[in-house]
Amino acid sequence: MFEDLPSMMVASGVVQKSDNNTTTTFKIRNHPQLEVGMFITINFVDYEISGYNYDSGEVTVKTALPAVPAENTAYKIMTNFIASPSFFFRALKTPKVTLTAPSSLTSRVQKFVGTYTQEQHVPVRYHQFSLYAVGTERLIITTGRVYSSRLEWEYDGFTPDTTYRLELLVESQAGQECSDVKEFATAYPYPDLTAPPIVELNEDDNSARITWRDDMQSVGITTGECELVQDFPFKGTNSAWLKSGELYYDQIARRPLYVEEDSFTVFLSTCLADKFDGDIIALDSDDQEKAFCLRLHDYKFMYRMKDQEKQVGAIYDVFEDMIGPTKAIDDVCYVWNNDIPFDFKTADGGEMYWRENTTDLSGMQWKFVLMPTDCKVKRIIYSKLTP
Amino acid sequence: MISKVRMFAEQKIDYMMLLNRVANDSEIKTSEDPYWLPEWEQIPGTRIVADYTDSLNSSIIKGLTDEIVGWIIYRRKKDEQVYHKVGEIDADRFFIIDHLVASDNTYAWTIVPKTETKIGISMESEMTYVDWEYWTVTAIKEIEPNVYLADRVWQLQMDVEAAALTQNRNVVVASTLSRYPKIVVGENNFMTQNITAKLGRINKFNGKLEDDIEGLQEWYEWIAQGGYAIIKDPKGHIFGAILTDSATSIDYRILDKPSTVQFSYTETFSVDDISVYEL
Repeated sequence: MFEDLPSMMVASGVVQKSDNNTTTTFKIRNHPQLEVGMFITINFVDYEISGYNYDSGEVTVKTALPAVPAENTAYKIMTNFIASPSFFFRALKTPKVTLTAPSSLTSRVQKFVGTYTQEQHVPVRYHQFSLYAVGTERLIITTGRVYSSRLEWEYDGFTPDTTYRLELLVESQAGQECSDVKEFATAYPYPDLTAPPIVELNEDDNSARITWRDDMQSVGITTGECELVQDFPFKGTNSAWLKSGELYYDQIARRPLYVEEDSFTVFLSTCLADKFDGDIIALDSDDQEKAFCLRLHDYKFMYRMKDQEKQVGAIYDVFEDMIGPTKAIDDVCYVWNNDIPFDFKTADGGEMYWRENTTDLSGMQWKFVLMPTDCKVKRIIYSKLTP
Repeated sequence: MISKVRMFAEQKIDYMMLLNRVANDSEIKTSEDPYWLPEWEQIPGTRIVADYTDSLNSSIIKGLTDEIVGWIIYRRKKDEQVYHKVGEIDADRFFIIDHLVASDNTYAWTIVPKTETKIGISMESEMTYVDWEYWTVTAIKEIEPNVYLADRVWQLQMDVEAAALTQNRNVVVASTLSRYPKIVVGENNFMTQNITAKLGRINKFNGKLEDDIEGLQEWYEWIAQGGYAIIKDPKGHIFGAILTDSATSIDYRILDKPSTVQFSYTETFSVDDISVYEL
């Protein structure tokens, strides 16, 4: 508190006896509350105090008195300010917050985490996440003040081809603010516009009808172990390696898969494990008597159509010149590999068959075409093809 | 009916394609090429193409590895990169009607498949120029915060008289002893206007005015419920507003008894941050 004139009395007394008294320095009583800057009033004249020895009681004034004050001369200590009692406080270090965010996003949902540090451990009062669109500076969403030291936030709604700026603001219990800002863009694979949306303007109610094609998505479901294999059976194409269980499809676009038993085609390209013997693919029907199944048994492909099973016809390599010793092979239906020696036996009546127990099936790729009344098969040995 | 296609263990499947018809010889011959890979649109009647490029799923949209759980539709103006959300709908719906479309603007709409976790791949429509001839008053109903359904649309086709569009600000000018006055500017910035028009609609085929009592009663009811509206004019304005008052006059001298409404609206919310659609 301060005022212009020294009207507040702090203390009073009389000048003390001292041989050292002068017109500017003289001894008064001990006044612990006296401070430099106060005034001493003697004979109705104010003299500003420029020094005071609390031990000896000697006071020094800025302006000399007209004469050395005599012993027992009355004085008053006057002041124009009041000082509060002294106390100590500690200056707080500036807190720091760090926001963790990826440089690009592929997920629609993303969780963000911030870390807050303050050397004197002043806790967080509140925090606030704010998400902006870079370019337009539009505030997309803000959490508002969250009174928690858990600096986490999850946002579900990131869109493609957008650059975002995320700001984390933290205020400590001591009122100190700190913030961190991160920018990131959303990335996504190049869109394959097989069917862009169609827009029809409706002039009856000034609206736009946007129509798009159903994705016809079918979700592949596995009951066992399955993994994707890159660059198989040749570079640039991938395969699904079904190690155990089944891989099946039973819906299209979230609706049941319904295809007529007498009107379908399945193209299947697969590589069977060595010594494979069993079912390859099955088409289940509501009526099990109308189901289809392709299997390999005793080195022969068998195709069950509805209620009957028959051996799949001649196996052709994709190139005629790989078939081997001429026409006879076209008529047999065994899985074989003409790189490996095989037994040739003539049964009674001149019928021929091949026994090929040593053939490694895993080196062959099979292309099947399943239809209601027939199944065609082609064998490919990629190592024999000219790239 | 075939209800399931199953493949069994101990094989590496390159592809599986299902058609809903019997393939012809030419198509079978094509498929025998060792490097042939099935593609959508390649053969008519395709139902499943599982090529295992990214996942076990079959999808027309390449690169989509997750199951679609819905669709998110966005709108953007030409030469802008700001996407306004039109709506978010279930996976089994394949259209949406966007009512926040202003005249004399060019828009593109983007469809994003929504999956459990991924953003999805966007498919954008062609840029479409919009030029509305008439005013419309669209009654809206809030279904969730900032999302509205277009409940009813009145198109004002005849005898439209629009009073001045007033931009309301909160500016106080106080005279002082100095040369200049003291100006206090508030945050207010909204539009108000009075409109008069026939409420009925002209039949496109016979040119007659269709104006029945049901339409009027719907108007009264909606005004009584609050009168939340989207107002669109042919100039290109689009306002989120409330109809503050409405008066109806009916010309009984004419056989069809056409009704004229006179109403005032006050802009009360921005359309930038809301969705108004119809399913």
